[in-house]
Amino acid sequence: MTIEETKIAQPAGAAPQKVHNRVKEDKGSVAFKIVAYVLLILGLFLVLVPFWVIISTSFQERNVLEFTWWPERTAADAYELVLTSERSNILMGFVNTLWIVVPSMLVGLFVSGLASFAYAKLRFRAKKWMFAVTIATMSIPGTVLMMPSYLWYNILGWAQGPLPLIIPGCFGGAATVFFFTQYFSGIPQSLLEAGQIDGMGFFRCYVTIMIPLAVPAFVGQGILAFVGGYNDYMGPLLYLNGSEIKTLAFMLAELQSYYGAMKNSDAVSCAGAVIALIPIIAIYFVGHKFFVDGVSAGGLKD
Amino acid sequence: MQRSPAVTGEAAVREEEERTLSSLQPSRKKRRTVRKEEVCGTVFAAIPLLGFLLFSAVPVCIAVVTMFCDMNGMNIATLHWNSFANFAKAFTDLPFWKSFLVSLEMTLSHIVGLVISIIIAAVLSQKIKGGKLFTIFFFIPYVCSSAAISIMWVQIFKPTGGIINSLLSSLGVANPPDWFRDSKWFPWMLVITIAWKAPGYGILMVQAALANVNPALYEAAKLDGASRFRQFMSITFPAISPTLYFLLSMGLLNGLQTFDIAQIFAQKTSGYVTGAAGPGDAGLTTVFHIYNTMNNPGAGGMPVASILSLLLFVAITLVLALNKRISKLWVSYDY
Repeated sequence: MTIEETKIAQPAGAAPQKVHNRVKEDKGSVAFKIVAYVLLILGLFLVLVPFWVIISTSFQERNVLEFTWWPERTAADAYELVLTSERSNILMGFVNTLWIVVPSMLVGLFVSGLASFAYAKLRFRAKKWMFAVTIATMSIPGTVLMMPSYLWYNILGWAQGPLPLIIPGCFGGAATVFFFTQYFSGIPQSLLEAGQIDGMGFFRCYVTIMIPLAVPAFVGQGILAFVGGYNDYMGPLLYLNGSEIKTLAFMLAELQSYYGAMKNSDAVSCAGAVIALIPIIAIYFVGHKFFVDGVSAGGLKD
Repeated sequence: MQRSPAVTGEAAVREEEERTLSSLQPSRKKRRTVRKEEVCGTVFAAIPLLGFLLFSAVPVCIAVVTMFCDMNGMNIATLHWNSFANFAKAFTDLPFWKSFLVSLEMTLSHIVGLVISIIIAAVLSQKIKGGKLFTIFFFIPYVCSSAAISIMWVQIFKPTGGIINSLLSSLGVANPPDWFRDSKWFPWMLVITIAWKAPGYGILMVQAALANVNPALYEAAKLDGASRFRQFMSITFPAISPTLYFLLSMGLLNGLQTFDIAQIFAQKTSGYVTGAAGPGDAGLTTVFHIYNTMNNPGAGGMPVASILSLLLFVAITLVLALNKRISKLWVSYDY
């Protein structure tokens, strides 16, 4: 058995051909195709216009308020401001986001994988109900836990800092455990037995056998976790409000209030948004296959 | 003491059992491995549960206690019993019940998004050149942060100089809506913004569901002379209905929890109006209201906010249960 066979989610992009049934193209299907392309191109236009709006606005000159599709004279002041200003330096926001999101994501992936390894490959008595409880925790809506968690972090003394955004993630996530468990059950048990014959403990088996075999799953879940953390707004709003450390998404929402008095505050907001979107969209285009697989299995943290 | 035959018999069976077990698992080393497996498995699997216990279960327990108490700000040391005063406050909190209606309105955007996803996915499932490329592009809004999306749409809805109102005026609409100041239009602005983000995920899921429909069914229908529409209603729709039900549930769940976009829009348009959540609090969703209550000791602070969270949980559960009940009328699991 190969790893390819164990893939859980079907890549949606490859799907359409299967449904199509071969019939002679009649007039109806030509008309259908025209309507289809009109619809799709209209949809594409609606998807892309908002991006063009912020790109165009971000290059607007200082006292222009009207939106123009193609600004006659452009200025890069807005970019200069968000990249160099002391108070809301977008690059600082990017660095903050990275160190809040990445370590927690890596530890969380490792731990989720470890738990999934146990569920998929080891025998222990409490397995059934522990797995059931883990899956059940997924069904609790996140916003309902917002108040209780805030109170708890306040008691712990973490409420005015980044710890609430870092520590819980290090314990792994239920959705990730679910995804990895399915993935690992496709890896043959014999590999684990071979490791044991070589005298490896279970932990070493996980690190040296399972992880290398599950790299695509780890990359996929890692990308999803990263995008979720990078885009998170509610967490930073609750815990980083008034703190020196601000994440990128949180900074974007505030940019307006910093430069509200200035005439080109729109351009500044838009420049910030453009810079913040570039890494995420780049990651999406590079790893879109991982995205599709991971998202159709679990969905993005909203 | 003399043993009864039954007991000795039992002991013999036990001995026999142990012997067979040890013959099945010949070495002591092996038995140690089994115990090690038990311990390692439990410990490995326990870490995420420990996280849940520490950062979800414990906080909820504390929050339940605070619901029955007065509290000075966030200071847990000032707790003192006030029986059900907080509950009275929460149940008579009119803005909360109104905010629930706003949240319900927000779920509309997910329903519209679902309809759009079905149409787009159905079109893409036909043999369309470049279909894959369209799929890739349609998914982009889904990966953008709500902060960036809000910035885009604030620009688009701007009453003066925004695209939408320029377009409406050029189409001859005399008084285009004042999105930022008119409490009638403000929530619709949020609905449109969220509906722009929503379809990406749905398109992907519906496409995957369509790809799993058995092509032989269509061949058979064609032989029977079924029209395209008839094929959709009798084959495609029932086959993808479980996916549609899942997407509808997710949409309701996400819609009722709308916060980010409502909060950022309120912040970005605060220069235009005085309300804390858009004109006349028209954009005050339930979670937004809970967030405000937490920060406002006059409205009850943390204890009342916890009760409102609990009420939201109950409301979400009820809506999803109702959705499940209704789904029995249209979802089929026979395919």
